[in-house]
Amino acid sequence: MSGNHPSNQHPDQPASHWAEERFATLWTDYLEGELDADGVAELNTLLAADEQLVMRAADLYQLHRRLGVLATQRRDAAAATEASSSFVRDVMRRLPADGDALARGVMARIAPRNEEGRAEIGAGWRGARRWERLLIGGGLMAAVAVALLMLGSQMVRDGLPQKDLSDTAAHATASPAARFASLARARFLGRETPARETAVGLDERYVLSAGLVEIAFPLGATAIIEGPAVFRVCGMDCLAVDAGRCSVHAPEGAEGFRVETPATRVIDRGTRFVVNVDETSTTEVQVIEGAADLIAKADHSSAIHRVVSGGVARHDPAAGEGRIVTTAGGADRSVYRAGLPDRLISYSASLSYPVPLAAGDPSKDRTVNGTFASVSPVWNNR
Amino acid sequence: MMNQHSRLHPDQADAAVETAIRQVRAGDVQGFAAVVHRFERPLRAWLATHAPPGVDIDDIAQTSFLAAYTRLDEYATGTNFAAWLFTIARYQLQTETTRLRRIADYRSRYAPDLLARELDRRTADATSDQDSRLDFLKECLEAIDDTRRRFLTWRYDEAIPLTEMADRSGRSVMAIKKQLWLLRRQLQECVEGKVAAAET
Repeated sequence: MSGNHPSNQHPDQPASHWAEERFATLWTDYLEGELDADGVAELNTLLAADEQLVMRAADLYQLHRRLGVLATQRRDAAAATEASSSFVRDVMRRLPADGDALARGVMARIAPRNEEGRAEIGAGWRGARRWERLLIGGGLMAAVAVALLMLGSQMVRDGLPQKDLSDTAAHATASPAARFASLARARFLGRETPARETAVGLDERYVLSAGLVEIAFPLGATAIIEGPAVFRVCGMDCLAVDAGRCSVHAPEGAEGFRVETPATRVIDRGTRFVVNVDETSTTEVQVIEGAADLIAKADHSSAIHRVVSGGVARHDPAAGEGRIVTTAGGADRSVYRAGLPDRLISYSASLSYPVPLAAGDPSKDRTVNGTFASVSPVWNNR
Repeated sequence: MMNQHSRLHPDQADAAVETAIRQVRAGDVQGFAAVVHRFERPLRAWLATHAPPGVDIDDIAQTSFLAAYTRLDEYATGTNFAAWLFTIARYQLQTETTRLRRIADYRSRYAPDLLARELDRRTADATSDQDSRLDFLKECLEAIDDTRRRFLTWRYDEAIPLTEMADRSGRSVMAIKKQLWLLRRQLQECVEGKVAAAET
């Protein structure tokens, strides 16, 4: 550090003058990213001694950010960039799965109808309110899920590596060990929303029509399921997802945790991944950290496809028996949920907002160090 | 490529937002894109000026839109959607800043704690004059002569290192730092002067 240390202060210099000069030096270094830990500590000391200095620091910081905003605006205007469109696309991609689309897709797999019947259903569907459509679609979704499970489970199980029968028996008779660790605006079809820390019924099918649930498994794995989804706990280290998306974290000790989908089995090899099952039973696995093995149930060779961190694997049952397509580096970390929202007071629109709105596009902060898991929307579950 | 929504008169744009919200409620998820287009820039600009260091602005903006989408049924049609959205963003930002502050090494890595707290307080008390400051800043920038404004262009538009700025100008790095300090202080005083004048 320079010689401008308090102990080197000129005896005739007022303390405030010295502090002002020191603040100017430290503050500029701070904005330029050149302030080390000692400098931050010294800056903190200066700020702690003078509340007005804190105000000035905040003013100058906000000015600094606004200068960045203006620079970005100029850049965007000059380049006629699509940065704005890219942001919008990113937001749209992160929107919760459309419950109506999912339900409609499941309905399409119900026993064939004649054209008139389809038209009537379509008209009725469009006329219904959104929540009604979700409710109806969800109920049908549940019925179809049951039918599919009963018809398909025996067929696909034959092609899988069999677990030890005693293990299976133990699972069948053991009391449920997984529990609902957390819920956020969770709504279920056909049942009341369970309380936190209640057990998840073993092999019970849950239809989550909205919201999020976090299930904690006894061996340490956790799974966050986003509504709309259909799922069940199939063992101490097993989650079956018939439709919807779940984010799984299997820490050390919980390796081997598996997610069963209608057409695949996903086995965790440590530590985080996302499984999404759409209305066509296409399974997509995105590995955020660690690795996961994917097996197509219709593949009699039970070939294992390993997906490592950053990779994506996709299985479309309609695309060819057992065919799994893997892509290195295609994982979208933004879809992984690391946790459920915090509790929150309700929103009230107390912020007045001016018209017209200023066009602003902030520049990136040089000191940004973003986390890989997105921050969930904040709400409460009451 | 400017999107069509930003060309609309504010009243027209707000009417378009209300229409989009009704469409989303009717089941058209893609209709929400119009809402995002409308508020993307002002929201990100607002977050940029209120977020302390270490906060990913785009991430907060995205989660704010997601939260608004998820709770869209709670918005009273025809009231002030912008205010409602920005309230959501404010809470999102406060949640994130609280989380960062709790990280043991945040203080040494990112920001003086007192600065972060003051920014947090300003976020909670955010008023409607924030956008005028951006406009005033533009005016103040235009009043600076080219010789001195080039330092700001180098710093913010080109984002070049101080050493390169020193090479280009023939000055020392220390002199560059001093120049930046004086420019920022001058601009801040100019903006505050315009704010005060606007209030009288």
